[in-house]
This record gives sequence, C-alpha cells and structure tokens, in this order.
Amino acid sequence: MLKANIYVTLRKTVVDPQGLAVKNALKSLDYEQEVEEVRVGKLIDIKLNMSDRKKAKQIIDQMCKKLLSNPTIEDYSFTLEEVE
Amino acid sequence: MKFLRFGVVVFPGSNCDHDCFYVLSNVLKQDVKYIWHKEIEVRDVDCIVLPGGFSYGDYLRTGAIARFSPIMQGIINFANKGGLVIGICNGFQILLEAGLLPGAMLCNKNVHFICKHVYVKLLNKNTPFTNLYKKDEVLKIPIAHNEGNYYIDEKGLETLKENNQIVFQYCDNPNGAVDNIAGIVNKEGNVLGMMPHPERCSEKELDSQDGLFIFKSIIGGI
Repeated sequence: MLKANIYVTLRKTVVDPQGLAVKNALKSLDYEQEVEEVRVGKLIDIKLNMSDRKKAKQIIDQMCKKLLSNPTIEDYSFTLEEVE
Repeated sequence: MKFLRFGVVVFPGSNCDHDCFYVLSNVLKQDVKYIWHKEIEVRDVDCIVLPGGFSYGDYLRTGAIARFSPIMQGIINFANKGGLVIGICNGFQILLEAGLLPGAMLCNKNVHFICKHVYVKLLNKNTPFTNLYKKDEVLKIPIAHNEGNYYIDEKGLETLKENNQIVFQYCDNPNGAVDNIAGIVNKEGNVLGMMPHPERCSEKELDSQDGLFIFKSIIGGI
C-alpha cells in the first residue's frame, strides 16, 4: 500500500495573512531574531489502494489539480511512501 | 411588477438560503423554490441564487467541495446558456471555485471574521443585477465573512477592468481585497459574485434597503 503526503501552500506571490499573524505571535514570544518568514499551509494524507508508484504519482497529481489545491493561489508538492 | 422564477440552491451548511427565499417571495412576491444540491438539472427557473453560508463547513477551501455537488454542472450549463446566476458571499466563493468567475478568495488580511455594515461603490450599472441603481451610487450593505480577501493576478485584474467586470468596490477596504473588489461579473455579464449580503438589507426595518435594488434589477431586466 502507498501513502501520499500532500503539501499545499500559498504561492510565493500571494500574501499569507495567517503566516503573518503567526510570525507576529512568534515575535511576541521573543523569536524575532530567529524567524525570517512564516507560511501556513495544509498537509493532506491519502492512503492508496495501489502499489504502482508511477500510476500513484499521476493520480495524486490529478487530484491536486482538480480539488486539493487551487492553482490560482496555491502550489502543491507530495511524497509517496510505503505503508502496511 | 413582473413575476419571475428563482431557484435558491441549498448546500449542506448554507445559512442565508432562507433570507434570500424570504426577500424574493415575501418582499418581492416572486415565484421561488429551493433547489437541493443533489439535484442534477436546473429546471424552470429564470435566475439561480447561490446563497451565503458555510457549505461543507468550509472544509479544504471555501466553496471547494460545494463546487463538485451534483447541481453545479447544471448551474454551469445554465450560466453558459446565458441564464442569470447570483452568488452571495459563500455563493461567490463557490462561483470562483467552479471557474464561472475568475480569481480566488484568501483569508481576510486581519485574520478575523468580519461582520458589519460597509459602504460599497457601484462601478458598473449596465448589468442585469444593477440597472436600477444610479451611476456611482454608494450602497450601505452588510458583510459577514472570514475569506473575502479577493485575489487575482495583475493580468487578470487588467482583463476585469478592460471588460468593466468590477461591479462593486469597497469604499474602505475591510479585508485586503485586490483593488478593493467586493463584487464582479463574468465577461458576458450574466453571472454576478459579491461578498456583501443584499438579502440582509432589503427591508426598511433592517437599517438599509440598498440591497433590494439588486433583486429588483433582476426582475425588471428579464
């Protein structure tokens, strides 16, 4: 069985209000020096009933384009791993 | 007044469907029916209303799941044939996800849910939804949303401007929306999406009646 770990993030050109709010909160916790930028995204895990990695890659890619991300504002990336 | 047939679409989590139904049926005496999202065809209506609310709990992205409800293909076909579609708040977000309108919604700039009356300026009165307003009229109208920060890239914004697709602009931008955009139409002008709620300001008891003219324009225009 394969599991896909899908990461959906706002595009670099899009301002991320949540990321900015989190950055400000970290600043108030005295991490101002250490933190350069914060971007908030989503992690979506999908367990697949298949073992063919090439096919799985194609299918996850289609899912990301059709539903899991909005290409107008978001980018996505994913990794595949073997699970029991 | 003419007698039109309106269809108010109900998704799981819609919560302004009754308000829209009430204004159209009780205030404006029109023929209104609810359309459950699992229906597959749009039948016997002149105008579709996608109401506000939190369809599917706003899971994944606002409007992202509702966009794949069975009724949506029927609504896309209806719109492509020139049928009038108005999406209010969550309805606007669904129209964006469905690709019937360009752009996308981001979280409000201040990361707060904003619920208050705002002033919006009318930019285009030559649409089936705004023909009864005066040119450059300013409307007092409530907003209530967490994701109303409209985003479109520069090229897309140019296209909106060239085609007069920007219908409403906030006078004092509450959410960070690009170019103060509060509402747009598609290029053909038969699909309107707007974040403010006209159904919440359509009776004199409700502080403002500025929203009523949107529904009256639709009725007068067909």
